[in-house]
Formats: sequence, structure tokens, C-alpha cells
Amino acid sequence: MEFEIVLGVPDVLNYWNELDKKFKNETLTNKEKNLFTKLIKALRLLKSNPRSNSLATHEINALSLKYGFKVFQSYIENNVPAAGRIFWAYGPGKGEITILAIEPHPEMKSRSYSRIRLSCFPDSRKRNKSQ
Amino acid sequence: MPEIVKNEYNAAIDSKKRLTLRGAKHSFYAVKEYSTGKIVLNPRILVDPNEIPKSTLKVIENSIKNFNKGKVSKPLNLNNYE
Repeated sequence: MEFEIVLGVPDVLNYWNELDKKFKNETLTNKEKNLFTKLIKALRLLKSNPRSNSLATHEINALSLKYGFKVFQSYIENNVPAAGRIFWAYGPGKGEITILAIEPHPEMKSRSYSRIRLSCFPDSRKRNKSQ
Repeated sequence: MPEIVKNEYNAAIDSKKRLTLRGAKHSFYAVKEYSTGKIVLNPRILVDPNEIPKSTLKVIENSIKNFNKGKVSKPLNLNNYE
């Protein structure tokens, strides 16, 4: 069974329209072109087989619990440490898949060391004042 | 929450100018060195690389708000992108 791919509004649709416009005008940068090609490939796979191994689809339990229906995550790329991700859900119509968000390059993976944050210790400013 | 001293000891610098923390509970520390010679260590943790960024969560939230009302885009025609 093939699914129809629909996009969430307004953010995902705007993002897609922007990429689509650039694609038609041939003004995509190399990075965008690379991403767009991979995105199209992933969406085609999602359309034909959402559980394809290449997509590494898995449910995000925290989001499913929050919203009351199953929210899934699939990868745009394979064997890449900072692979882009697609968040999607079945519906709203029968045989439809809605793309809820597209995360082209999760910044946290590449910059996780520079984004280290304090664990739950008292605010250092308050501590300095009391010293 | 008041800070409680849990352990106190003297440590000696080794030949490579390193100090050993006894029973350290964290892997990463932010080090602050003062002009007086005092050094303060603050434990740090790495951000979970699989965590969904706030910006993406906001996009998901907006999409789901409209999704619940049945508002989505028209079906994509992926054959246009050969």
C-alpha cells in the first residue's frame, strides 16, 4: 500500500515551499541540493514503506504520550553521525502520512561538547555572593 | 539548597602537574582559576545528542495543532523531482 505524503502547516510547508522554489529556479546551494535530494529519497521510501530499514523508523514515546497518537522519527541519511531527521504521524486522512517536522542537521550532535551545561548545582552567582 | 561539605582532603600535584579527584562522580568539569590561586570545579554534563531541539519541538507543536484540526498541505507529488 502506498501512502500519500502531506506536510504539516505552517512551518514544514513553508520550509518545503522555500526549497521547492529554489529547486525550480536552480538556486539551491550545494548543501541544500544535497539535503533536498536526500529528503526526496527519504519521502519516496516513506511513501512506499514507512518501516523500511534505511529510514530506521522508530516511535518517539515521549511525543506519542504527549499528543495521544503515535509520532515517529525517520532518518534522512544513513551511517552519518549527524543525520537529518523527519518527524511524522499517520493521518489525518486514511492512507496519509503527515510530516510534522524536518530537522535537516541536528546541531547538537556535532556541537555537543561545546554545548555542555551545568548539572543541577546552585547558581554560581548566588554562591559567589554568599562567599 | 545549602551546600554541604561531603569530603575534604589535601591533594598533591604529581610530576605532570595533575591533581586526582577522589571518587569523582562526574566526567566533565568547568574549571575556574582565580588570581588568588583558588580553583573552582563545577560538574558538567553533555547534552543528550538524541534530544529534540526546542525549535524542532515548536515546529512539531504547530504542525500537530493544525493536524488535529485536519489542516495539512495537499499531497506531495514526488514525481516532479526526478
